Amino acid sequence: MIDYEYTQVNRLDEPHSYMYTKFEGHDFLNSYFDNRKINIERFQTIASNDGNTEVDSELIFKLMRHFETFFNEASVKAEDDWLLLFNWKDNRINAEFKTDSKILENMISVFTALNIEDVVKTEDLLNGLLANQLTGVQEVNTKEWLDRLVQRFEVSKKLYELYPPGFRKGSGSTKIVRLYWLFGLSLCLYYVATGSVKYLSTQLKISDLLCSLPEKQLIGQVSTQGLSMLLLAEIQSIKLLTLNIKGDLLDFK
Amino acid sequence: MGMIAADTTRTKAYIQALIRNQMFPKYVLLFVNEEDILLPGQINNSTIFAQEQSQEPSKDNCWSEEKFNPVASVQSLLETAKIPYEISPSQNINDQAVIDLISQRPESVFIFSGFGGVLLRKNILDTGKKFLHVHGGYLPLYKGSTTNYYSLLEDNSMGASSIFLTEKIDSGPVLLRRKFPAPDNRKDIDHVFDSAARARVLIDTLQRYIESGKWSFELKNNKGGEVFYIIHPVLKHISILSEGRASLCE
Repeated sequence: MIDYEYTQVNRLDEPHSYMYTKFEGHDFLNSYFDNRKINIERFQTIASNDGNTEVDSELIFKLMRHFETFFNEASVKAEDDWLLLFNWKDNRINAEFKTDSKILENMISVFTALNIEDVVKTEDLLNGLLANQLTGVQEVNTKEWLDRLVQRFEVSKKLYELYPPGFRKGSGSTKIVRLYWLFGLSLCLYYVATGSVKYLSTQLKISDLLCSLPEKQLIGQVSTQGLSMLLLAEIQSIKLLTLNIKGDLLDFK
Repeated sequence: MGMIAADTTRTKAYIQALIRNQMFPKYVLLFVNEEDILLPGQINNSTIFAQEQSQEPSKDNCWSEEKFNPVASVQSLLETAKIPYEISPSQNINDQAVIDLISQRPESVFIFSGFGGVLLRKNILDTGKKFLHVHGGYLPLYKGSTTNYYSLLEDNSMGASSIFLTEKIDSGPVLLRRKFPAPDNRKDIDHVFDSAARARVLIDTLQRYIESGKWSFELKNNKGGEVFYIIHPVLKHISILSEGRASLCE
């Protein structure tokens, strides 16, 4: 099997430009699936975070229900595939989380107060984008803010801790792994809701970055169950897009 | 009319199409890459998948400019056709020496075929010259980079649109735009079919200008649509490997 080069080095330190990537046929798609499988297994060996347990539990619970509904509506086969993926091995995503709707309400309320003319704290923005989508709040500015983040990320392949008024080049740390995870989830949700492949493309780059990171950079910042959730939803989205391709692709059963 | 041309496969498609259609630029400013590393839009000859390319025009109405030689030398093409050219003092179109050179030329319109990913800055746009660019995507829907892979995934078509360049990416008024069906050999999109689609729109745009003696616009208000960024290789592979129904030639 050919190497999946996009996660081979730490992409926070060495971003990939993705320009004029070469065509490698079915083998490349299989190397992608294999890469994600290996990383889901890897994430399961990492202790889950202990800093955002309550918030992450709420997000993961809502995300699981959201993706289940989407894939159920996509097709019977997609639903079956999702359930197979979801139950693939012992993936440790627990469906019995307690829920607290105030967590998402608070995120939306902070998000609503954000203004392009002010300094924007990226975590507040990302929490709000997720909460908006998970609660079905269809505000126009969800797309506007998401597009701004996509533009900033695609230009630099980094997310900054803060963005100055006008949302120009960011400031602060670019190594807050949690921001990339939240961004990936937001993109994934937006893709499954709209079918706009642009967002899936950026999400794949975010997942590459997360999969390229060593354990020490993940621990304490990201829910490892949440990382698996992101990759599982991405895999299912990709599988749905490969239905027109002939030839054998890797099976996750 | 003049031409600003980097040594890329797109330029090769343009020049061969122009020669084939008897539309000779009066002057070409050529950007050459003297480094060992390929620049965006350049090709390693071994990566062409098509077995053979000839300069015979294709009988396919939509892909009439498909048959060009992507590995020909730009300088040889220009010399054979006796098109005057000079080598640019810099690879950077926004370099002051290049701007001065273009400013001093008598041509008011230049066909633009620079290295990939280059934006024209205010200084060169302020020279008063018009830069005719063909974007590889159907405007205003598909702005930005690698848009033909996205449109193949979304509606199984490709596109090309001619515009006069402005500071904002792919947002100048649209002179002419076309949709193209998915090509039979999708592996060659980067260096053959994307270039061939743009060459076809370039020729159609120039023919319309020659016939009417003025620039007419199919879409003056090129607003809206999405800005796309370089497609992830997984999606690029799906786009190439998908076997969707061919869309109509528009």
